[in-house]
Amino acid sequence: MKKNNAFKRIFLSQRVIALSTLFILFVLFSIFGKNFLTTNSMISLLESTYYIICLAFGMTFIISTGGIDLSMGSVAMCGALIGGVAYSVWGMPIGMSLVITIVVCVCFGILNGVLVSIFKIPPFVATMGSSYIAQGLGYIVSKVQTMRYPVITSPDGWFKRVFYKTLNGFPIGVVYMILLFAIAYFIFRYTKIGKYACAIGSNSEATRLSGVKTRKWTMLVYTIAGVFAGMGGIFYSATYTSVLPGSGSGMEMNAIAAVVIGGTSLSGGSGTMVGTIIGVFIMAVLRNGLQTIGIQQQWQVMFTGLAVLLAVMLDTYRGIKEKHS
Amino acid sequence: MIKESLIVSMQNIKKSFGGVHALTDGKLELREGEVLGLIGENGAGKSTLMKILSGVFGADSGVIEVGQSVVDYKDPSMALEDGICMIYQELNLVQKLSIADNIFIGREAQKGVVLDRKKDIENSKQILEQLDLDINPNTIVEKLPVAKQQMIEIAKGISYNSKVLIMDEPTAALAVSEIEELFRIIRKLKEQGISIIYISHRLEELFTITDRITVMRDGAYIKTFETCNCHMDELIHSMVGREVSWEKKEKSNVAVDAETVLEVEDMESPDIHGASFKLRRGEIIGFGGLMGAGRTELARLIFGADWRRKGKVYVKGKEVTIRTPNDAVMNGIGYISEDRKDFGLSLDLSIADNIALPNWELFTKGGVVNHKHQYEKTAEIAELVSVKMPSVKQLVRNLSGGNQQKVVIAKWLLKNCDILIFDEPTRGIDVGAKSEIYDLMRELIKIGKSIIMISSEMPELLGMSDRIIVMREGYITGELGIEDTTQEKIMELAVKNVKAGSN
Amino acid sequence: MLRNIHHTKKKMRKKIALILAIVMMVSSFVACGNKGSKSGDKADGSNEASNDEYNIEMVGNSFSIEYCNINVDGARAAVEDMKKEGVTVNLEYNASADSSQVDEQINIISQALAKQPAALLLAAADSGSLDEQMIAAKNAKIPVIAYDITFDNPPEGSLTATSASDSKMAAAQAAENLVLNDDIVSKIKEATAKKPVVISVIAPDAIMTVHRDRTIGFSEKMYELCQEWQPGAVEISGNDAFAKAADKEPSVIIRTDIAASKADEDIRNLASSVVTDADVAAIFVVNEAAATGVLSATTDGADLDREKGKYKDMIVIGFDSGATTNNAVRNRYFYGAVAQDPYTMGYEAMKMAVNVLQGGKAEDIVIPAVWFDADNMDDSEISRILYE
Repeated sequence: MKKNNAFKRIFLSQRVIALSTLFILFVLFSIFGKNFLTTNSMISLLESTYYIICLAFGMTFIISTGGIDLSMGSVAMCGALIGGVAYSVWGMPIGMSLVITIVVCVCFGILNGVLVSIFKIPPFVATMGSSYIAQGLGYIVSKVQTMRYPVITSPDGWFKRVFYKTLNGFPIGVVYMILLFAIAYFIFRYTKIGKYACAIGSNSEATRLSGVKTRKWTMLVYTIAGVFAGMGGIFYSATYTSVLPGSGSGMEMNAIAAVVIGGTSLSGGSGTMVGTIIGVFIMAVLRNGLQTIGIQQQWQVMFTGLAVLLAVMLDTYRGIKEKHS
Repeated sequence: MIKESLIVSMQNIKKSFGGVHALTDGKLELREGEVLGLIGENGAGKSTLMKILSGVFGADSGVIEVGQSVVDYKDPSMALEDGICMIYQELNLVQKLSIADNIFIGREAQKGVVLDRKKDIENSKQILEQLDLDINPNTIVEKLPVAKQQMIEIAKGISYNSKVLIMDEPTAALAVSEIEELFRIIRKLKEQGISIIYISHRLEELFTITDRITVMRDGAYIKTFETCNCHMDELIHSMVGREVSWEKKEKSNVAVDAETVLEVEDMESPDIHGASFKLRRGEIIGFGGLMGAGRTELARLIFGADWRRKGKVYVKGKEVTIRTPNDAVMNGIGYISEDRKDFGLSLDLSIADNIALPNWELFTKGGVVNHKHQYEKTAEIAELVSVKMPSVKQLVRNLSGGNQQKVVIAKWLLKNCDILIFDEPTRGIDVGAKSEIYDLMRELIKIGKSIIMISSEMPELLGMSDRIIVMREGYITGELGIEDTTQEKIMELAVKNVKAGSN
Repeated sequence: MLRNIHHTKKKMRKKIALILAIVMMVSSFVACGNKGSKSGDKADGSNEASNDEYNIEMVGNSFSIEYCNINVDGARAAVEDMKKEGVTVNLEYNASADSSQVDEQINIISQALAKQPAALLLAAADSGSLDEQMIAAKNAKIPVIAYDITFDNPPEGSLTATSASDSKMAAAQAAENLVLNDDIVSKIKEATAKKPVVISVIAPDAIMTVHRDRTIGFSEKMYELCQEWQPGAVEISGNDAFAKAADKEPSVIIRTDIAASKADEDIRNLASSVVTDADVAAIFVVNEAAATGVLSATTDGADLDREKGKYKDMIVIGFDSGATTNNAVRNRYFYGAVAQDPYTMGYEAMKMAVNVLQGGKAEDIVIPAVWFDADNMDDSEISRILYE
């Protein structure tokens, strides 16, 4: 009886539902979509997920602590923008500008961590504040100019050939995504950081009373999210070349949506990197797939909304079920 | 004849929650226009009885009569209609709304669809005047001191044309002058023919304000005294005078020359007023007292969970700085909270993860977690304290209370804590599991651990402790060796007025 | 009780499954419907199958702006016209949510290219970041016709033709029309370094290529024109990107005022600070949003009334037609405006695409912009291109 229940739980788990949804969508679009299942189309689908994957990994860490980061998109873009300024205005080598991108994002991660863990500002408010700060900083440093990274064929475009796509068209970014996934998965599953993140998300006071320095670990989690935001910034500039000042707010919403669709509960205490990846791909397949069957952008936005709502409904439903059991 | 003047009569009330019998024979008789005190130990069933009367939940069996007619309230609004209103200890006011809005919340006067605020304010004014309260009904409740908020609760009660007001520990948060103000109002209500049930732990207050006092114990009615010809000793005796069906510890098992492992000196915080005591190796100190005596607060101070004004802690003779729970754990102190769900465990994590929470360095090598090692080790320790479970991967949420408690103990055992603070170790745990927890505590003593045990249960205190410290309202009111302790002595210290009778 | 809970659980599970199924079905129906409605879909979508039937993708930069939709109307009209000549075009249009979503548009372009269309019509959100997509199109031998937005510097051979008005030239037209006004000319002539005259250019951002071009086109033309009356004493200030210093203390300041963000309230705030500045003699608003900002900062234009308005001497010039600008021009709150012709842009772009596919010569088409004011806006050749 108990075994049977566990069996049921696994098959009702959101990760499994999400994976089968992804599969079904994929099959549907492959059959009905015009040129959905072609190499070009698949590559462009993959490429559109790079930066959002990075953000979603960072977001999974934060959400597992019961927090949220509304600044992630703006921070990633602020980092990329300042990196761009370093390259095209201050004349730094491109490698340096990538380092600057990461540094800026890590600083914002630390800022968020301090606000949340030391000043005890609710994550929602704290990160909303730093989101504006990041946007403003981007405006100021860039003098409200679009920053353009070098194109792939130019000598300075090496970073695109390394991070985005080789000259013969191989989507090399995928390799990094696999690598980043492995790292995120490892940190989450096999280090104290992941363990404490979930414990804090599940019951922060009980964790503190177990002698865990919850402040320190919360800060660390936000800092890690900052690193992932920085990676997101780099992959964004590698993929899309131009970084617009003031852009990025809204990207974190996509990341949150992906995390939720993947089965990480917004109330914290658990998280799944595998689910997050699936969530990102569900959204990407929806976006690109709907286009191949001739449905325009405005509809795709709505479908994403439906997917998020369905995922949250499932999550709540499972919550109710667990309470009753 | 007497029956005629009764406004409330409750007879043979039974109520159980799950398997726990909260009330076995509840009884209460309230006369018109009297103040009836209701007293008993924690868990004596006072609150349950009152909640049944005010319609929060129904009784399993028994007869309730209000003003000659038999009633069976399904929810509080039905009780309110009959004029029965309960004022809870934790006030139920909406802090951001005005007094008038609070009094008439949910039944605001209306003109068509528009709120008729003027009328509400007018009516509030009248009620406040009736209570001799000079407050503007437009004042936001948040801005009032607690005592005034309590008056507003009473005003709200009166606004329902209540005939019976139930006050649950109304003076718990009040200063002396404020208590007098409350008594003045109670007397005024009495003049207006309103009957009052007054629940309190403070004997001196009961003697001041009540006409009669009903004593409850272990879910049953014991006796009702006329206040004017009642003696305090008599009252205390009837509160604790249960038949002895359990074993009292005869004498302390602690060696005379046992070293002092923990010394607490002059702890002070907003809730605690200069507490000092010593704990020796292999000793169980029981902390007795009534609810709100400050025992949990003291434990949390020692553990570094809350801010303290001053106070020193010595572990094994050396002064240690404890500012955070982490400091306490590093010094070998573990805290087993009374509230497992909120403070003791992460219910959504597995047994293994809960036990591992303060112990991850045992299971990581170079920062990498070894899950296999974690599962083996936590399973080992969980079996040692005999947690009944299919596997350590089981979520803690799905364990029984007793097993959850064992998981918390396992956590600290693995951490190798020498000093364990048990806060109500058997609360919400069924009888069989209780004795297992007791056995476990005795085992711990044998291997050289020392225990501070906060307990509101007399049998537990008397059966387990080597020494008993009693607290009341943030003060330590006395210390008793187990040899010469009786229930009456503990109860006397627990209800003793610190300010008046300090020794 | 327990059984009951179990039962409702089961019911809920069923409900959720049902909802999931419905969503799936809807999406697949839509898919089928779309598939069915298209007569000539080639399974491989290749562009060599037929000589007189083409799948053409059109990608815009904002699906919520009327202007962009008029581009599409023009293209559709061209499709209809060509049908009469026996050429069938299957046009598919898609656009990003708004023109600042460069990444979204790049994804859309990539997807459009993946469908291997016969040609791509493209209004870039940010032409500078499309190099890789342009090269991909070139390699796939897909001709790209830019419409509305010109490319600064496309990779060689990737851009087949452009159908657009020249934003800089159109904005310069606005400057030329401004100095036809005698009042402003005399103000410029009388200006001194102590009491300079300011001509403000209000733009919602300095990011979008069109807005930059319009800003540059106007301010540089004005700079040039003013030299005649105030040689060496003209400067362009404001945003660093456009700045041009004067040789001596400036008497005429052409100031580029860029809003803090494209949010309406930011544009409005900027506009009110400009109109209350007594030195400002004229304002050029680079788009409809900036026009809206100026109007809301002047009590919906009432303060600009020529007879009794608070700022009756202030001269405002708009860019692009649209309900707001048209109305302001008609009421003479605005001195006039320069209008582009999105319909013809779309129409000509489509014609050019088919022309190229049929082996014709590729040529850039400059769609002329038109100056309009209260006096000429009802003339038939002008009212034809004004849109609401």
